[in-house]
Amino acid sequence: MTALIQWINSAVVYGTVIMYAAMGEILTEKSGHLNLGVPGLMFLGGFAGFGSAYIYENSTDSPSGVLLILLPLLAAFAASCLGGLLYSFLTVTLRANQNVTGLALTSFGVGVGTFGGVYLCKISGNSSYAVAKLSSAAFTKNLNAAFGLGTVGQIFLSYGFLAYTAILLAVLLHFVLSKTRVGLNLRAVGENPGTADAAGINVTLYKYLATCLGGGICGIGGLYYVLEYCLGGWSTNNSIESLGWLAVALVIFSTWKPLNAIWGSYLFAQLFWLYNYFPTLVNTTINAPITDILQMIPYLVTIIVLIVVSIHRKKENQGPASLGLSYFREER
Amino acid sequence: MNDKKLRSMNEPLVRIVKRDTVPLTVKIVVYAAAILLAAIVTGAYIYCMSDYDIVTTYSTMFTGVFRNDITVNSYFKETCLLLMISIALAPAFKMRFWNIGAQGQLLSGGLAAAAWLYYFGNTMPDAALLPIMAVSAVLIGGLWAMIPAIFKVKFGTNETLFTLMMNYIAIQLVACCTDIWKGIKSALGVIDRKAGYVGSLFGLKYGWIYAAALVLLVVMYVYMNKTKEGYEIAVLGEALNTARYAGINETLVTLRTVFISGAICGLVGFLYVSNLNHSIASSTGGSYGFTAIIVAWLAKFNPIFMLLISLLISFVSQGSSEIANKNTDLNSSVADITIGIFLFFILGCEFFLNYKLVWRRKDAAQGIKKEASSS
Repeated sequence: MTALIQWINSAVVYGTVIMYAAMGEILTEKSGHLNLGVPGLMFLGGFAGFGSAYIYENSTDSPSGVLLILLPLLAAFAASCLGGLLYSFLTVTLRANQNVTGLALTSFGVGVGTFGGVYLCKISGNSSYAVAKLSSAAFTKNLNAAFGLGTVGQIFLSYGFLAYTAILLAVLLHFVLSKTRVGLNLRAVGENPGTADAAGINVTLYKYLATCLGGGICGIGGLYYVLEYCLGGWSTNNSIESLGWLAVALVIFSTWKPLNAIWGSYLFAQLFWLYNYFPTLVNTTINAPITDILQMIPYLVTIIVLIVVSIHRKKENQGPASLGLSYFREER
Repeated sequence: MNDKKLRSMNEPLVRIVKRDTVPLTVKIVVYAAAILLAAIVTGAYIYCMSDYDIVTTYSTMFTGVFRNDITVNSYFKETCLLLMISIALAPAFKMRFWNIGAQGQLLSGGLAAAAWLYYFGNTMPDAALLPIMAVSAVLIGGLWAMIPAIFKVKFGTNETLFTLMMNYIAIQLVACCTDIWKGIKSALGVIDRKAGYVGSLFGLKYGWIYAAALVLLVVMYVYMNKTKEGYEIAVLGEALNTARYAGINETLVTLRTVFISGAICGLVGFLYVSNLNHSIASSTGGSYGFTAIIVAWLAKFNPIFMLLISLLISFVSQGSSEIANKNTDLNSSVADITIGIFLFFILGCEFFLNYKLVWRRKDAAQGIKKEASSS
């Protein structure tokens, strides 16, 4: 039973990381831009959030609780927004190929994150590892103890506030995309920028805004990974990268609908952790080679999902029609 | 309101016009400007992070690459590896098949070669073992790439993410096999067998890698530009409907091209196993799979340009590592950042090759007046 609860806890934490990244990517793709820079943006956000928290904690004697939360949030959002801005400048204004630009952004973002992390460790004098303890404590503070609900509390209440805002954000994004004028315009831009342009919608503005905001949201995912999962410690672990790719795949799985992404990300994260908790759950121990095979599962499932989605083509389940294409007004 | 004012209100300051052809001089100027700007930004970045000014930065980079035989060989080796993967990806991209799974194809090919080495390295002589290793690496690499291609032609499955996910599957397969092979040791290390070593060629340690890269460069150039198969790839990539109308067998061409793409990646995997490492790990090939995508795209699938860009990127990479070694303020990830800066600039500069900026003319209003009065 404890193994199952631990499994769920780990899955919710990873699922939240994936969910933020998937939200950001859904918003971006709705404007017709496929951003493969998601892992890079997550690294940028994670690093900027961690760095600002670390520097702030170590520069004052009595850090204020509000700033411990606000600073990393703002820094993470701003840094990955800038990453999104770079991407949109290249793909919207300079009309560079989206796949290629996104991949370049991924290696760049991972590079900046890793470089900056190691740099911070070095200047901190702590050789290889730096921890933003206080900020992490602020981000992981939960209400589990206050209610004393036992197992139920452990499953539903034992996460930092960002895990809950992720769900709120998904609902909000769903509302904006499907019920508001802004959402309608954005979808029009993604479906057919030429028509949207003719209808008087500022295509460039919408594309820029969606890509930058989307990038910023991806960055929050990276921040959550560092401050909650890694407990504020910066490690050059690459799982952030594979989580980013799973998030990109999740966008297709959720058929571009934020509400589907909520349960989709928990499911993916559950599969991600299967290798670690499932054997304990059924009372077996498995050796290393089998563990390696079990770690394939999330990727295998993603592939199966991709195939199933492509076989069952329904009109309402397709992505934005102009996804991946640059828009040039004078081209016919 | 006078004409001039009216016009300046309606006409934007700058307009974008698509170019039909690009003069060679414009091309050279644009690329040179992009590389120069990237070099300046890189220099500025290094200057901010350390005490190296721009001259020291580039002279350190230069000595890091050209100091002696060892560094030069290492430079050419890395260039050739990157070039070969770019060459592998080019035909698939030209066909608009986004194969971003080069790493997986390289690993699966390498794993096949390593398996032969591990199980038969002590019993088979080199003359039999090496060809079998090479052929199986090429075949497995090609087949690995064909899995997503089959689903692409059959169901229209998104190949970008499919090939990407195949990377992780290959990584886990390699991890699984190395776990089995290493037994109770902490790491696989060099697979210690009597045979299966590709030695030097023409007295060069990495001679086989240079030779393979050069042969592939020429063969791919001919294949893409001078053969019927290459032409079919171009038509399929440019206009799907035209290809169908012309009776090009879409399924066949796609599968064949993707197989070739994966097969070359598999060959690179073989070279990693038999010439470079004599072992395999899930990190074999590193991030070249992604970098090569950008190289192939920037070169417009032209093998010669791919060589030039690979030379540039490997230079920046090895030079940055040298700076990171020399300067304790920096660390090895600086190479990812500097390469990123160069790639972003080259990516961005393509805009100025495809489009022309037309500035609002100051005398536009007078021009119209003149036209009006003369008519």
